[in-house]
Amino acid sequence: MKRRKIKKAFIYILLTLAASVMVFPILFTLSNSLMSGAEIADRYAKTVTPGNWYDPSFSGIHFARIGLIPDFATVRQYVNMLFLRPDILRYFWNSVMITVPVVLGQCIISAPAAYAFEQAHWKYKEALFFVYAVIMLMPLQVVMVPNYIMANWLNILDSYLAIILPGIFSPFGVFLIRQQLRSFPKEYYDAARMDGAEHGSYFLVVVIPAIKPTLAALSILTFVEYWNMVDQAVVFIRTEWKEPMSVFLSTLMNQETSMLFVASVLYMLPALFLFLLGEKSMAHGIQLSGLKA
Amino acid sequence: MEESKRNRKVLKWFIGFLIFMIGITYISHTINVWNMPRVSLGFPEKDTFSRAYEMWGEVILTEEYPGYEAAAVFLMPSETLPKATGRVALAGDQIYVHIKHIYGAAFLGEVMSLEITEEGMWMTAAFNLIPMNPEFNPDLDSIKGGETILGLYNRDYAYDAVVPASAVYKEGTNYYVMVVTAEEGPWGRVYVASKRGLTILDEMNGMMAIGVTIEEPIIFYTDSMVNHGDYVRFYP
Repeated sequence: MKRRKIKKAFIYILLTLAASVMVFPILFTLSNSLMSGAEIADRYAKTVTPGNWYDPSFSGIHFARIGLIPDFATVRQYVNMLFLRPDILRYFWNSVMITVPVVLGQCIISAPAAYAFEQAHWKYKEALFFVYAVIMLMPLQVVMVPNYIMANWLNILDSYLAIILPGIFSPFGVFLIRQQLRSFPKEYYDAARMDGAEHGSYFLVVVIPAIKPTLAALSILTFVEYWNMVDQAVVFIRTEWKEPMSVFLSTLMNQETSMLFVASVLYMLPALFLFLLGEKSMAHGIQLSGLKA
Repeated sequence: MEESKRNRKVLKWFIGFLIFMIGITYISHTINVWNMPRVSLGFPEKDTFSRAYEMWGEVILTEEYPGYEAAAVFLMPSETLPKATGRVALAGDQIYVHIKHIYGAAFLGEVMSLEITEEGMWMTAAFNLIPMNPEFNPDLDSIKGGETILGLYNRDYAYDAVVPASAVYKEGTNYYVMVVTAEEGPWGRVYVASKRGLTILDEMNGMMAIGVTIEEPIIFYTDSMVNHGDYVRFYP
């Protein structure tokens, strides 16, 4: 009995440690966003300055003073960002302008495509689906080269379409939804046919409500993927102010560290909201599609 | 039931957040526009500077002056040198040479060469003296030295590009103007100020002749300091 308790306590300690490791970046970002610009500059400066001379340093090289508690908590950086830096807000909206069309587009395209895969009967259907799966498994960097060539050919480089179009037609959504539709009873369709329903109405009235959790899961997964995307934006977007927030944060890291943490908090919020909104649906949707998260 | 209630609450917050972001973006953009330096623009114009120089100093004519040639050395007070250019006269300028000792006779001359020494005060000018008075005979009197007045003709200097002096900035020994170009910025069209180096050809009455062709509009006046790369807005 005692041994069991010790084992349980040990597991709890391990889990707490693991959870702390997960939560630390969020806490770190939140707490650092409440520091003044000068404090952040002093804490993370690479050289010794009048403001950080008391920190550990070696041969003039300053060691970053990582901490969770600000010397003086202030919301000045939030005020600066929200009221005086419309350029930073623009990067936020850039991310929105890329992510929202991709999420909506994928839901609109993937559901009928998956339905067609499931319902249509033709010789090479499974072969084509296999190709879909193969493309899905390919590393992003491999797919990006043909995507770049296509974007150049369509003259949409340096526009969001270069990211949105491949995103909308990503095979992942089709794959995910079809996995669920595979376990969908055929009798539903037969019953609907007997009631005079065609494919269109059956799809809209029966299939769509049934795959809602999967669509929610797809939305969240796609949102997170494109909200955090870096590679595509670096390759396809050339104008600096068109970059999404995910890329701009690295620029801030190098050029304006004082704004990095508040911008990161702003960057976290939509994903957090979406996760809270679809947390259960996502788990349910993934479960229905037979995939493991 | 509980979950859908919670979801509705989160959705409301999410929508609220998005509305807040739209509003704050609009406000932030407006504040940013307000904070931009206000400028008035203009293009360089063709203009003519008209001026007469009077030079005072000692003139020593050469010993021999067949064909009434002469050389003159004279002292210029540095204040009379135009500040922007350091130029007093150009080779080719026509001048009167008054030599008091010769019955107040005046000579029409032409500046053959002009040089400012390192001290910036001494100038050397060579003249082909053409007597205004045909009866003048240099042998009648000594014209070697003596007090003299050199008077330049009024001369019109035509320039292709003249801007107000307030448009020209100095950085060390270099001069520049700020030009404005339109670009596509994060929130639509923006007007960006950028430096354009130039040389000053002449200056007069608060106007400067610049030695460079500029096709973009130049900032003539501004209500605050404009730096390279700043976004600007215009006076209504």
